[in-house]
Amino acid sequence: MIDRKTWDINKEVAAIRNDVGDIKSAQDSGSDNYVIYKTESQTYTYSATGGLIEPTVTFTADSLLNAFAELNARVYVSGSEIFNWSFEAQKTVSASDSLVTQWLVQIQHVTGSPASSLQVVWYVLSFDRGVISG
Amino acid sequence: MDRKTDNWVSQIKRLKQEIDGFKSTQFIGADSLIAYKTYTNDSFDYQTTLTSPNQVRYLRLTLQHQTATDGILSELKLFYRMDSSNVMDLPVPKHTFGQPAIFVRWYKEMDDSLTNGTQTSWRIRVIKNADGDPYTAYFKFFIDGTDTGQWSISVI
Repeated sequence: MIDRKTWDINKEVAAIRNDVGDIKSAQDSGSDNYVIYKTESQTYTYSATGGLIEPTVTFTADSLLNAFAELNARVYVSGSEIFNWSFEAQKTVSASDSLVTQWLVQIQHVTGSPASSLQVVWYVLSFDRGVISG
Repeated sequence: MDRKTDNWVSQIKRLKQEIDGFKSTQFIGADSLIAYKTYTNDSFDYQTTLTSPNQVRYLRLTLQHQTATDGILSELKLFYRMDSSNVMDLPVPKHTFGQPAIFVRWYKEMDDSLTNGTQTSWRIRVIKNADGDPYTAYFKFFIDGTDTGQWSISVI
């Protein structure tokens, strides 16, 4: 609310410009349009027991605290992508206002002949770019 | 305060009200964003019948959306039930002891042609256990995400 007795047009306009800048940076053009970033990891190789791997995966956002990250994956055996696998990712409890998100993951190669080694590329969708380690 | 100055004050006041309107739906710098739940009001959204022991069927659920930049944050919640279309009345628990007659798992597909700025796809694996008669599985889909849209399902 503007106080007509003490108002300062330069101050008010500067405040409005700041607000508009915040909105533009958080919201792409158009309504309901968020900027979501997809971060891709290098390829990680895991030894599997009965086709099962249980890695811990960490995503460290560049600058945004609590970046609301979502973990996904593509899985390969001997360099070829496979699709008969199941995926469970349990997000761990971290300190509030943290750049780091961590998951305890289970990937199960579901087949009569489970592979002894799985290659995984991790993908994180989130409100910020960052670095993945698995 | 002269009339010209008063006019400026009114305009700025109106602008600040409009910005507050933006912030009330998308609060900047805090944790309030618009998210959507996409679902139908039908008792089930899809059905499939598996007849052979250990039979596997792959489905692809695709949500077409329009306003994502590099994809959307989204989560598929899938419920299913055997031989009854009233899925949400008694869905199969996700974590259950023993082997259910039909077992369902899914994950989001990361191939750029399947999940990108305009659509998001999930691969759903439906497996019949080794025993028993043919079963029909009925599915309900709920998608929580930073965008909404139209979904479709196909057998792959």
